[in-house]
Amino acid sequence: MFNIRKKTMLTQVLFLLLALPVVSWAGGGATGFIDAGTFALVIEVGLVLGAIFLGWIVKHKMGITIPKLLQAPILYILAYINFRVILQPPIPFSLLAMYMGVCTLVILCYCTITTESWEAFSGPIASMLRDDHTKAKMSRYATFLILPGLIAAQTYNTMLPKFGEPIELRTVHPAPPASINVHKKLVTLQTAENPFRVGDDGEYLKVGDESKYFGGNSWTGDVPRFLQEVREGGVVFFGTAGCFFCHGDNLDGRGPFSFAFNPIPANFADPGTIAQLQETFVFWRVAKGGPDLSREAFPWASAMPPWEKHLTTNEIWKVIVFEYWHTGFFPRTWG
Amino acid sequence: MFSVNNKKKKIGALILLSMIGMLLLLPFAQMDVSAQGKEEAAAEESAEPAEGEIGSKGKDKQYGGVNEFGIVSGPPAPEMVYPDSYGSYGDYQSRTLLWVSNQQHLYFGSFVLAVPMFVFVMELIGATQKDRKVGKKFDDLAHEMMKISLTAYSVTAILGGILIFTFLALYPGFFGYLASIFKPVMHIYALLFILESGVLYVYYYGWDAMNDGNGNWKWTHLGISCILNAIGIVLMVMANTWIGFMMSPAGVDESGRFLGDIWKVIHTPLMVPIVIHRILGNAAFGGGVVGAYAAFRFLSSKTLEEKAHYDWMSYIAMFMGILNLIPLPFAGYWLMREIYAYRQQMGITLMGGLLAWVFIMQATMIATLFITVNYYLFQAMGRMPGAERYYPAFKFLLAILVISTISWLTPHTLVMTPAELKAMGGQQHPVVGNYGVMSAKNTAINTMITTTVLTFCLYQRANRIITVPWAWKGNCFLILLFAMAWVNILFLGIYGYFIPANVRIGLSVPQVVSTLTTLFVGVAVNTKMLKGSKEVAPIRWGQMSVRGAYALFLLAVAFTWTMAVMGYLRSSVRLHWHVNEIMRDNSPWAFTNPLGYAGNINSMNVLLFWTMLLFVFWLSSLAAKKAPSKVTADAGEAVPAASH
Amino acid sequence: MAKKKGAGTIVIKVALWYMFILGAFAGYTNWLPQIRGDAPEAAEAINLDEVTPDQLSTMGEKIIFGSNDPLGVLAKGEGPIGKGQCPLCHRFFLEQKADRCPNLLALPEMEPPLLKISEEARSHERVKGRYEEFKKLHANGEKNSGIVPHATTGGEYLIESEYCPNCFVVVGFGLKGTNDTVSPMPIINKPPIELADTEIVAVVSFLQLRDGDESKWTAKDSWESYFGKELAAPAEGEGEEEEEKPKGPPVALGSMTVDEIVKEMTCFACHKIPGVAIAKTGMIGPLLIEKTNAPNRIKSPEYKKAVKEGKAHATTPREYVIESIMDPGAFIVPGFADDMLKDFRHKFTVSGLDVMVDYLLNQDVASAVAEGMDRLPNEKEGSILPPPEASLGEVKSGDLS
Repeated sequence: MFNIRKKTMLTQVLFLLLALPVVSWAGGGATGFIDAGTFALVIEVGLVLGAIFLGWIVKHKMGITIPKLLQAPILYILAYINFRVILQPPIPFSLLAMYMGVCTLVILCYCTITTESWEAFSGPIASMLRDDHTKAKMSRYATFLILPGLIAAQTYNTMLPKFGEPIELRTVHPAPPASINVHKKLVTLQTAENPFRVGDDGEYLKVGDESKYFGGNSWTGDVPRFLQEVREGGVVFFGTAGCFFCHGDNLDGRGPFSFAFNPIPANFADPGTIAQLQETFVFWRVAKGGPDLSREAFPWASAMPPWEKHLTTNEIWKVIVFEYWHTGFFPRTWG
Repeated sequence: MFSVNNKKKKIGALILLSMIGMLLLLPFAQMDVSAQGKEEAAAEESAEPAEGEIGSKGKDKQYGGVNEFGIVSGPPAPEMVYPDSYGSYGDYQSRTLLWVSNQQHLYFGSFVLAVPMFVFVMELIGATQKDRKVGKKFDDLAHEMMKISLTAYSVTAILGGILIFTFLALYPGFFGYLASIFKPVMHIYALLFILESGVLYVYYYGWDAMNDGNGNWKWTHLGISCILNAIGIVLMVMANTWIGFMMSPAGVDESGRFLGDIWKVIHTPLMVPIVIHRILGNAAFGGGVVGAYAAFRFLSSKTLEEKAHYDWMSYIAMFMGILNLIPLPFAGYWLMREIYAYRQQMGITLMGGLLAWVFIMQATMIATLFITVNYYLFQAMGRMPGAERYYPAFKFLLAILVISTISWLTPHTLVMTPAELKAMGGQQHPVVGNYGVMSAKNTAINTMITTTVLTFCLYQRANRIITVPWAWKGNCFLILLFAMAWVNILFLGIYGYFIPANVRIGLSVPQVVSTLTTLFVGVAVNTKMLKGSKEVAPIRWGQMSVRGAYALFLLAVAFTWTMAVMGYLRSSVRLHWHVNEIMRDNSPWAFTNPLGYAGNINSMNVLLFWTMLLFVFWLSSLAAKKAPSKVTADAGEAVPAASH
Repeated sequence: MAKKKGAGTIVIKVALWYMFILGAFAGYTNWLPQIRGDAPEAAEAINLDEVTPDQLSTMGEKIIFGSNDPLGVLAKGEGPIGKGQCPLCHRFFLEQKADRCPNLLALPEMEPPLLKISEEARSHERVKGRYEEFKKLHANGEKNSGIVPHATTGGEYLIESEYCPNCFVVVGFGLKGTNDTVSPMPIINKPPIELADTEIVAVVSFLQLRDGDESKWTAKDSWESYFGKELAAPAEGEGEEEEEKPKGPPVALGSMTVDEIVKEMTCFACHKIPGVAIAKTGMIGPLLIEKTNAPNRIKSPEYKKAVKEGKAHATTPREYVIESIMDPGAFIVPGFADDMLKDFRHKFTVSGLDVMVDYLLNQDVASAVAEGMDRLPNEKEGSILPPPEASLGEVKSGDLS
């Protein structure tokens, strides 16, 4: 018996040890080594572990046993607070519903995970349903009043006319066409290469190799070829085309005009935009703009102009080089 | 009937069998252009006679280099015209009818393909067990599984017939074209099917006759099983080539003229990953179905012996299913990668475009599968005395699973009202937006698999006390192993945000290696540690909680449903093409149905499948009633949890 | 919970559990966003009616020679061979050596007379006489292309010979040993040459227009009458012209010259501007000599009135000019109507405006007089030209007309 107890303790200690690297990362996050998303993940993990630890303290140190039936709603409310309040900026309802759905299932799993916890969880319910003493009776009556009430409230809420703007199911990155015609030239998106992605030798620069130019100064006298293209792309971005009005000085989609648009312009600094796309995809978006989007991407809900009407093909390619260089992302490739 | 005393007959039969096999291989040798003329008599003649242009040089749609050109050997893909090239039953979506018949055929086909695989493994384990009692148990299990699949086999054939009739009635033009392309192999398919039936009957009915002792006949029987599986897999591959051709046609020119080399038509860019993915998927699905059968029998059993047997059987089936489920996500990533390499457009349609939400559904399904598996193992530990030690760990494991699930489920494109959009400040959430990309999803699935492996390790040692002298070191090693794996997976996942996508895809390899290391090394070390361990008490087979049985049902339905939804996905990605970029779908049903419609059809399909399966189970239970039960396992008998 | 139950109860329970799971899955899929992917419209046929025979001919020339100056390429000692690869076998110029296939020379001024006959003229002869033999020979369709020879005019013949070279083989040019029944020419609309239908029409157009007589052009009609269907252009991928600066809405940029801005902004339609070649005839707006005008205008009582009304705000000549372009309605020069376009504020960049304003502020009476420009009669400030007898003036009256 003692052996088993010791092992239980051991397991717990070791699981806490597991949290050590997590804690160290949390420290890293605080000092800015990792980005907000990772930091939030670490916080989430910390919260979950913290909740478990708190439960352990309450149970083993303070000697209070919270009934399983009560644990479930407590956990549920904690999860709700976490997703609704702690997680900022607020997530949309659809996502919240998804998260809470997962939490519901997992909390159900948690409550029924062993036979004991199942009995502790279902026992009071069964007792409420069939026992004959006053307490059970009262809670039975209460339940059968509250449940239909909740359903009625939900129904009322659903039927109530709403005046909010409708939800938009806009696909942000729809599938591109196989090829596009820009300035009377056919560009096959599967195979086309950025002609300005060139190394010092003038040859095509493999994706990934451009990282050596990141942070380089393109305004010094003797700049590598690639940085020259970056500079010219920058001139397009800040000058000829004026992309920065919408996409922002930092390419983060926060230009002075950005909030005049709905949806707001793409944030290139986000790992979910150009970092996920091939250069040719970006070329398609720049050249053809909103009007060429497919139906699921709501071509009418994009303020992006078809830049082929204002820029040359070369300028478009250059500004793409600039965008990737500036954000430090790499275009997607499949090689 | 075979009998031990009639050796000559048996040898003769075997020779005959192999001769049939050889004959069936003959057409492969003749598979060239000149041979096709002779095969014209075959029933699967093309709808339109070939005319003109045959013999000229044609440029292959897919192949480049040496294989770029071929000799035009068939007519171009016919232009489909509605209503001439299509049939219909009133205004109902023809495609949905085809969808249902296809799905049902596929379900039963997968089932009868997967079961012989299990049976082979089970029988092999049975034959190699030193403990004959245990060996017999596995052998009986294999025999019972085979019995279930026997009825399913004829149902598969019937559904296949229905499928062909549906094709001919509703899509005659399309079917005619595909038949004209696959003419050289179509009859091989049919003949293999006959051979498969023959081998199956010999295998099943020869079971007892060839199993009268420890003699060599058992090995011959296993050999037949091997042949049976080989034929089954070839059949599946052949059926898959049609799909591969429809998605990524090759071996034809731009207008769909066959260029004379059937191998190119078969070996399309997506064919190999689809085949691998499907074999694994089938096996996992088969495990799920057998598990559900056993769970059903477990619940309805009246005696403890029966209960114990079916409890054990459901565990074994579940285990086999999971074994195939674990590599499945990796095979899926490979397939996805090949799709992107084939057509970026197709990849984006799947992952970021029209069909992106199906992947959220898929993530839900896979998460359901893994959580259910863990839940089942937790429940299964309930029947293992001594497992109480590990109960406190369950909630941590669950916590890891829920965090992984949440990050995996987070869609890249969020659904929101304009007000929510404003409040969030952009299409991408600064925090959860990071979970919308592949890096996070890879990390999540690897973490989930690793967690499942850990749960299994706990399960293995649940009712045992480790006595090996290096127990302390072993435990440390295991803890270090899992910790390292998690750290590595998490670190690589985060690192993935800072590097180009092509390198990032490479990162999934070390992630997978971490996961597989915990699977192989972790389980191996764990098993080693359990050697000579003291039992707290034997496993109380038959005393699993009812919730465990219901978890197995959920597992089975989730497998079935995942197959259905992924089938919808794979088929939809062709969009408005019958054959991608070659044959356009000009029927009024060329649009892609929304996910909700697909969900309804899928649920309907799954229900239909399980109803039919119930019938099949019922039939097999009728047979069981006739003969006295062969169940030999009794409660508490020592069957090690990790004896395989 | 582990009480023994009948199989029937279990079946019902399990069935309910299945229904619940399936309902949950289906419900979830219905809750997720529903996107129906509609099949795109089939590619629209481009209206070929808008293309002139000449354009087609130029396109054909490019396909044949890979250049629109084949003689220039020849002069450099290279072979002018384009996508169509025709000059590999056919002779188009005397300077060129190619005799595997019938020559396609068409140079009316050439000697000997044989070469005077253009391919266009020759084609009409091809469909007579010996053509009948080929019709019989390929009555069931020529074996490579499936085409039965059925050309009736020269144009149809030219079309047919591209799709079905074997449908008529000129005497002396057949493959050896075939008695001139099999042509060495590849089928042009098939790989490896694989010209599109429109490209073939372009090539035929080139052949028909070689002697410069546009009345003989029938290529498109012949194609349509030969195949009995409308010629449809491929959706995209046509034309390989060099990249041009694309045309968008007009914009005045700082990098443009004054002449360019005036042209782009169409100032010349209304105003006369000294020193700008194209802006000498505008009769709707005032003469733009702002070094002279602007200071006077600001001081004028009419302008002060506009300021009082809150319409105008300029205090310096520069501001006045900027205001007049950006907000033409702020102040209307007496004698004119408020009909200047109001959208220049959207068309000028700041630097472009600077260029224009700087220029206008440098124009005075002298510069206008030097070019013989005068104010319009309805301008209150009156003529700037000296009286006629002082005569700088042969130019003026003509200019004003």
